[in-house]
Amino acid sequence: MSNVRLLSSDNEEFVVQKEVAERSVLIKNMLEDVGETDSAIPLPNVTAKVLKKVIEWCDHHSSDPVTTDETERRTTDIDEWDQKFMEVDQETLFDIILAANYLDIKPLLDVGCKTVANMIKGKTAEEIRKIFNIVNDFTPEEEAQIRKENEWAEDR
Amino acid sequence: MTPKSSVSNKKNRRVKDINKNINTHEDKSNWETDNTIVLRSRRIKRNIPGGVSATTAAAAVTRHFYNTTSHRPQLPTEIIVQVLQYVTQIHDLYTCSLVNKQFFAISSPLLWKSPKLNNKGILRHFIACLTMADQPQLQESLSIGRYIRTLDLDDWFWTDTEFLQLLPHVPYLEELKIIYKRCRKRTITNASLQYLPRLCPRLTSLSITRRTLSHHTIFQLGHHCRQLKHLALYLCGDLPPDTLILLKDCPLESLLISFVNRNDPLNHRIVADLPIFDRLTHLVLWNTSVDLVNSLFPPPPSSSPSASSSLLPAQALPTTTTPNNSTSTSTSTSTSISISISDSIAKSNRAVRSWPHLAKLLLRSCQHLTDATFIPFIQAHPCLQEIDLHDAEFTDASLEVMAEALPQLARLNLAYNRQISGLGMRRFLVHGKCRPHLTLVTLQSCPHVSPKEFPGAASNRDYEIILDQPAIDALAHLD
Repeated sequence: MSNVRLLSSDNEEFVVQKEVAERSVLIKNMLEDVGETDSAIPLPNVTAKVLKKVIEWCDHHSSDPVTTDETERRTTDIDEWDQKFMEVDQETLFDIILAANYLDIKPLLDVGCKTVANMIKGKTAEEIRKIFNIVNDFTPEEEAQIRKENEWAEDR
Repeated sequence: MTPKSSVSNKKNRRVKDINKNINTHEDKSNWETDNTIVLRSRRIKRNIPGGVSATTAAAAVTRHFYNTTSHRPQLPTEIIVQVLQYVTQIHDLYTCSLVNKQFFAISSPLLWKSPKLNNKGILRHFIACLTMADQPQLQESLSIGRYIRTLDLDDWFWTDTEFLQLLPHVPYLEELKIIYKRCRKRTITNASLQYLPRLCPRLTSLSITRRTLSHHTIFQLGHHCRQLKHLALYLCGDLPPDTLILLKDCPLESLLISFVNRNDPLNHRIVADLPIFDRLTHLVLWNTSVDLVNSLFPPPPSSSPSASSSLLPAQALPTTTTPNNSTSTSTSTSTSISISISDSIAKSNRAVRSWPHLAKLLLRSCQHLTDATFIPFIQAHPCLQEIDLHDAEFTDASLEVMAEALPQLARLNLAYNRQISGLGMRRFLVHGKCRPHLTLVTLQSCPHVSPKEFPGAASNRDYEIILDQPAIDALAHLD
């Protein structure tokens, strides 16, 4: 089993089994493009802290079958191990999602998005704004209009 | 909106100031939506991590994320789109629509995709919202009805008046189900339904219960709804005899008809045109007469020698089928399966093709369905996954052919079959090629099949023998 060296944005090097690293489609494609190489693959978008988490996930899921079925991927619940894995502070969670997106690890991205979706459940609009670090950009008139339009859904 | 239990997040305190800096320069015109939700928020403009290829963009995003003083990452729009796909509660989607313009643009199509309207107040309100939303009073106001894709309506709350109010606002409606509720004088009738096809030409699925549809309405349906794949007509009276001809340009894959009067001779005229739909995967006919079912299967060669010359015995499925060929005679060997739809058609020497993709067949009153007619049919329809027949008279011989010819069969329901034996059924279950797929087999009131022959099967007082996958596996082990 050959190994792959990955270099985080803060210059920390990780040595990972090739099949683990190839859970990332980005890395898989890179390896296919460059072939055998001794130099480390630089990942300028991922810090060591996040990369460590991502590698932990890839390692645990290294032998998962690749699910191409979109609906199956969408409807399956988060399994127990992933739930535990995602019990991190929100900054880390978002960082993992961004890294999964950048590294093109769709199943990890799914788990992350599902976790965030669960965080939205039962929250108020203001609480959701806080989660996502965004502000209300509606004018009062616009907001009133939307409330009116969507009023049928308010108590559902 | 009721504020739910607020989770205090210490990290959020510092966010507001930063947000002020980030967001004050927002350009309103950047936000817009279109049919295919065009999202152009400030965030999109700044961050477009386009997956693998857009590494430079992603790098820019990351710099942006990590260089802010807060170190709090924001999620780009494409990820928020994904997140909201997993939000399923209507109330949560409603809340999301109030978060900001970006969230509004993403959550509205989800919120309005299949609104559940189950009381009069909500219904009135919903229609008021629809009609109001269609008037562009504010710049951002959009005709929200076009997000609606699926609707289940019932007579309890809907009449022609409401339905006519609704129709102009839902041009992208794809699935419509109109459910029957008893004891209502005013309902949705043909008077409003006649406008449905023209106003909702993208219908792919239509299910209607207990209404009379005029010739004109069905003509309109065939004329406008060229994507209609699934049609269910439950107890719709006075169907025109040329109903299916009128729908010939619809790519029907599943057809369900429940006849009002099983002995109406016009039913024959309707089913005679079934072969038009060569893409049919689901054929379900309720309340059929013995003769009607009989007309679906070619008569055994011996009984009608005059017709047999045109009806080749069905031995194999044609490897290729050419569409729109239903009127051609079966001189070519590729049209090896022919089903006589009615005596008159058979006599007119017109051979009719089968449905090469047929996966589900449900028929009642199959008293004339014997080995002679059923075996060729099985052999011609190897994709069958579900068979549900009452009163059929075929024997274990048909079961033997099924065991070989239907490798994908998953569900089988036979009732009142007086010919099949418990032994024949056991052989079929244990040795059939479909055994890995079989999930449910039910046998009801078949006098030569005894529950004792199927240890592990559940049975009930209707003499129903219910075999699920474990029960079938257990049988296999016993043998």
